[in-house]
Amino acid sequence: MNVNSGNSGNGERDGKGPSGLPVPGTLPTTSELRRRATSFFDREMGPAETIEFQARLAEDPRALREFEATRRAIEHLKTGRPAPDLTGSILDEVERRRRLLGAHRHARRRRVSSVMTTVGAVALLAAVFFGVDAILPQLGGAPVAKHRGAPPGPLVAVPTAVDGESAAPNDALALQLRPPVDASRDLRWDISGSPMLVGAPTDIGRGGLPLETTSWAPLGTSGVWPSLFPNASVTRPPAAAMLIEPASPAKPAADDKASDKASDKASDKAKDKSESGPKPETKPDTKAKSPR
Amino acid sequence: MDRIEERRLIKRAAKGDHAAAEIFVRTYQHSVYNYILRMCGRPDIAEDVVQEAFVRALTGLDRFDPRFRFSTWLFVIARRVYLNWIQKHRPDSNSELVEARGGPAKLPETAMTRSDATGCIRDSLQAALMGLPPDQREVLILFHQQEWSIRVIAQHLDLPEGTVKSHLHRGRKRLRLLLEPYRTRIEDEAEVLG
Repeated sequence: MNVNSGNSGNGERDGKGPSGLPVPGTLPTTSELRRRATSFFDREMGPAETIEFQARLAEDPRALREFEATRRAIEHLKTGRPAPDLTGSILDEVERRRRLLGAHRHARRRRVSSVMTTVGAVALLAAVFFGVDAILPQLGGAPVAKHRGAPPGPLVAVPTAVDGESAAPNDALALQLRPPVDASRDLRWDISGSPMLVGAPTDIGRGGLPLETTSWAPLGTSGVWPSLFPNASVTRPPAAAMLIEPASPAKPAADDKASDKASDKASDKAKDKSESGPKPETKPDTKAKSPR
Repeated sequence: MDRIEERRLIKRAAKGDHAAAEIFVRTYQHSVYNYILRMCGRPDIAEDVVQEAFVRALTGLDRFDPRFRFSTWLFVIARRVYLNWIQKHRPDSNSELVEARGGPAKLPETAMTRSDATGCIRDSLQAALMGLPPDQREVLILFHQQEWSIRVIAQHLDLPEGTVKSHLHRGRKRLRLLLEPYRTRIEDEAEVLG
């Protein structure tokens, strides 16, 4: 007999008074009994209310049947299955994992300690190195200037030095860098003395340098130039001059005088010979080669 | 086991005391096993999950928060292990769920002994439980089997208390409906059990 659907909140129709307690003589509906069953199963019902609820429930067979079915299911739910004894296997596994964790932690600690040892050794070596470096000058070891440069002078001296350098004549600087060259010397000597310009291509050795050969000839007297320029007139240098070695930079003055005298004599002789008649081409002395 | 005794045992077990660890295992293995067994319905899985949960709890005691009870912490771990297992074995789990929802369990035709009757009721109940949504099933198990309060369940499952109550109400109603086909047999078995 469910005539009271949607009656929640209405105390009289729920069979409850304004205070929430059931009014004597009124029958609670099935839905109300369900609601109170819910609060019974939720363990929210006090002992006195539980006794009253069970008394009301007995008057509604349908609600009673539902209530009993639910209560029975919950009772079965409470009775669990006896669990197998897992104590031994659990403790063994715990022990095994602890050993593994311990070994892992030990290995990690060992790895960290080895890294720390390495870092410490490097730091110690560095400290020893810098310590020795700092102590050595006091013991008469390596000079400080070699490592750390010259001690700085006063800054006032810098502009003075710069001015001095800028005031120096450029000619003097040039003379320092390059020794003076005798302008009176015939440049052709240098050309004829250069072995790179004469000789057959087959005479060129490794690295483009000429091989030692006995068929040296002055430029313009043999080789390709006469065939290329048959009508060209070439002034031959004095034969005696070919024997003169180039002046050594160590004794410029003495060599210049000697070469002047030699050249004078050689030119005189050459004049005499040229006047007497044509002569076959003279082979230059190997000494005429410029020293390398 | 009160809280002071529990903390003392936890300190001992964390230092590697076998006896203290054994007390924890013997005290809680039955409840954790039945919780997981009701959740999954398979004793072999329940054993594995319980063992793994205990091992994790006992090897991680240095991370235990003393504001909570050890049992609560253990159930949280067991639940995580079980959920991980579900994630790993989802297809198997689903097929078993379909099987479980297939209908009433076949009852033996011979005369039932007391243990048979208990087994039949248990099977019927387990089949009905497996027909519930997981959240309703878990709330029902924790509330009625483990007798946890609604507040503790709400904390454990990280749900509002009203939601827990709602799950409880709906779960009970659905469980009763699912058990309806078994009702007469369960009543008969209840008579056998006396």
